[in-house]
Amino acid sequence: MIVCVPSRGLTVDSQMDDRFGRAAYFAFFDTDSDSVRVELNPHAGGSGGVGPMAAQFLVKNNVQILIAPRLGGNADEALKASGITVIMQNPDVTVQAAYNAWKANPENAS
Amino acid sequence: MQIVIASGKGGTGKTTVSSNLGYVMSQSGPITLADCDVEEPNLGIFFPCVPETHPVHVIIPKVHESQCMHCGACGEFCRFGALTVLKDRVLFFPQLCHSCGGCFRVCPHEALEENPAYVGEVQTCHLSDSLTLVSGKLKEGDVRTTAVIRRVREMTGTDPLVLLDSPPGTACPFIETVDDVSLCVLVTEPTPFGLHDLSVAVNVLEVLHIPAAVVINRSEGNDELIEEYCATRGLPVLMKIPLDFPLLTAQNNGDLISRMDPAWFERFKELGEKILAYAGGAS
Repeated sequence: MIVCVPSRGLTVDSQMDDRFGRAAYFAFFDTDSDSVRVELNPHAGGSGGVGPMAAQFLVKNNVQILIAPRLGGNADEALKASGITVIMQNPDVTVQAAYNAWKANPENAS
Repeated sequence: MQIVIASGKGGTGKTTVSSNLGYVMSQSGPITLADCDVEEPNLGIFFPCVPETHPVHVIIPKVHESQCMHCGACGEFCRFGALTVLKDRVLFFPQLCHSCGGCFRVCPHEALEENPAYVGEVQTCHLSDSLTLVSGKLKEGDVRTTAVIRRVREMTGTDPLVLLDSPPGTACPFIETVDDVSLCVLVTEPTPFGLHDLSVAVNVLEVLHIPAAVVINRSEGNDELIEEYCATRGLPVLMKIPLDFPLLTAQNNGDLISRMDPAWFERFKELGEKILAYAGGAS
């Protein structure tokens, strides 16, 4: 299963990005292989509609769970339609910490 | 010849200038007044009439799921995020669509159908033998402003003399209004805000290679701020409109000062002559 966390930087020690569509990077955690890769968000600098574009990017990367602070209306609609589960998380933590918190308590979709 | 009355800053007197100028210039020849402030058109207040209405549509895609293979080509192409291709369906966000038509071209499966979407209307009124009013009106709640402005410009494109009342600001609606005109007259006020937004508009017009001229409104005699800027940028100041109580009263009553007061008629007539001379020389 792929779990995605928006990130400010290239490593999992970076702070979580408090935006979704304009997040600088996305971290993709693979729960099966216990590995992670961080990719540049190709839509971060787009002129508009970046929420649905980022959702599409997540679909392409087979994401099933997104840990995010808040979402715009269009992004929310696209993510719901795509079947990606969104877990709300205060962005005041590192990417790794956000992932660890979810892993410790996956049922807690606070 | 197409001439725009614009401002950058809102509320500086674009409509005061364009309504009076349109009325006065129509007394000596045919002129079309075009209200391109389609989010809040108000020229019609000064020229009441029963308009002819022409609907404005844009083309948006409709997805035929039976033919769609969810290959993602349209979603990859759309830089506005209007099409989101998921594994089993395509989401379309109409308010993000710019009607560029690109998705129809990139779809390899002919799964997209061109569908019209209503975005507003253009109202035309023949007020007299020499004065025509054309007003764009965006559908309430819609954001596709430039589509309605474009239609106003298409419908007035071959008229001999058109005075376009611009929306405020200097973003897409302003650029759609000033594109390819002979002259843009910028109405400003002698305040730091007026100067700031004037300079933004002047910079945009410079990039677009459109000649600019300035009218100072609400002048109380201390216009150095604007005058010094205009001198530096080589912009002619075509008129100064004093802060005048009868003018404001006329305007607030939906009347035109130039229709009521011969002295004001002459002032706007002189402005019209200067504009035509400057636009003719500059273009």
